[in-house]
Amino acid sequence: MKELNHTTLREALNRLPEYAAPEGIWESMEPALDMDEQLAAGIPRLPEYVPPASIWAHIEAQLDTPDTGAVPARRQRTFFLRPGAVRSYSAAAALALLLAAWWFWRPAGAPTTGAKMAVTQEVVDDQLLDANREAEDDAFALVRQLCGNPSSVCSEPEFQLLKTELDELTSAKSALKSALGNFGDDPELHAQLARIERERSNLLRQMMSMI
Amino acid sequence: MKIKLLFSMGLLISGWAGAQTTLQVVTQTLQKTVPWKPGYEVEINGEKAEVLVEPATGNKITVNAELIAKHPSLDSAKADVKAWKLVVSTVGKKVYIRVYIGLPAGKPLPASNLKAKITVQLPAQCPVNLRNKFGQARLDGLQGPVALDGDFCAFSLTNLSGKINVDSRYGNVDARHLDGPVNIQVKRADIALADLHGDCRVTSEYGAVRVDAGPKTGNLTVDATKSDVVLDVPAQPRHSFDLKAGYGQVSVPKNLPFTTQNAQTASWQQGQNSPLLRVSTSFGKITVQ
Repeated sequence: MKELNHTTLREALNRLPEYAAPEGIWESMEPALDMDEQLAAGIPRLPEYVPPASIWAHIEAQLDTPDTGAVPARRQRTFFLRPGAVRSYSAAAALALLLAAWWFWRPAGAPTTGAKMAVTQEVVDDQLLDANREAEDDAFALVRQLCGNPSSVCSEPEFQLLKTELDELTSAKSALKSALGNFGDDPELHAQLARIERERSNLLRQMMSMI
Repeated sequence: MKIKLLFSMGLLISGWAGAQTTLQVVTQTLQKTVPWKPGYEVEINGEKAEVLVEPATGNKITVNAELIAKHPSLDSAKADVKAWKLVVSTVGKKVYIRVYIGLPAGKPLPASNLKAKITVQLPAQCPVNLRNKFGQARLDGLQGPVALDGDFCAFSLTNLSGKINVDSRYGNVDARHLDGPVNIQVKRADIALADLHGDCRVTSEYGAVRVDAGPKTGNLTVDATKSDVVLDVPAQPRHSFDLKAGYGQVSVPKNLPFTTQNAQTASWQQGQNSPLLRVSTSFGKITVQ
């Protein structure tokens, strides 16, 4: 059927709101992705079974039997399963459905190619590594100590602003040092660490002048 | 005496040379490829990663990864490189590329320095969403919209023609040859922009902003706090200017007819249709040169 209001429909579609995924989506997806990878890797390794040759002879014999219209007693019995058997078949059917649903909805993971491992050596200047191991200046502890006790300076709005800024930078420094670890040699990250430290020192000077 | 002198010189030279540590670098390389269709977009999520996104021919997305562990002990580096996980999967119309350090519950963090280098090759028109921590991201030659988010991640953007949105904390942004509209928000990092062909909006806190506002640059708005802003303009600019530096200072070339009421403001209206360079900062300087 020809769409008469194509332009209006298109405009309405374009006006539909866009929504970003929530912040914690990766954390919640991670176990599922790992499980999908494990399942995808495991399925090809499942054993395959061939039915015994006699099964075909048995089926063939049944097919050759003329249909008299009378229902054999054995076939009649299969319609009245015991309650336990019903539960087993239901569980099996549910499992099969779940597997089919997973197979249909699973994320299409990309196959890995050309995987290889190499070992090389790299010489790093200890000055770079030591930059990340420098102890904290005692003056920062002094500020923390001062503000731990009721103090007139710490309650001043200007001092509090500086303290908030210092705390933010200290938290960033801590995250960066943790990312660099003991053997971090990334010059960009070291430059950022030096910048944070300069800003912290600048704040510290301002705060100390108020004490 | 001579021996003492030689010994002292030896000590001095060894002191200058400085101590060094040899790290064993274990690198695992691998490649993953997924098909791409028009309408699909890419979501890249990295950690300690150097990411390069560049265009390629064909309807596919290829990810080449170098997953690296560095440690003085080879055994430790070999064990720690296994902590890297690279997931490339398609869910609906999104292709997720995720490189992260995955550890079983209760296992301690690897002692090695871990780093990943990822090259993503995709159709130029494919929209890209990228989020990275503690690393770098370089995007070059893309035509689709780009949305970037980083912590301690330096961004380098060149030859992009789609809409660009960048949100960076503690990571510098360096961009040139951008055709589309640009929106950049940066905290505690520097921004350098050049050869902009569209409108641009910059928000900066505690960082230096430098914009080369050439003749093709559209409207530019810079809202900065505790940041110095430098505008490089041609000898005969075609833009209008509206500059305000609260608790700061505005400096403009003396040979151009700026109106300056005080040291904190300057303006120059060239005509109704000329694009506007509007800069506002506090506790910082604005320099037009």
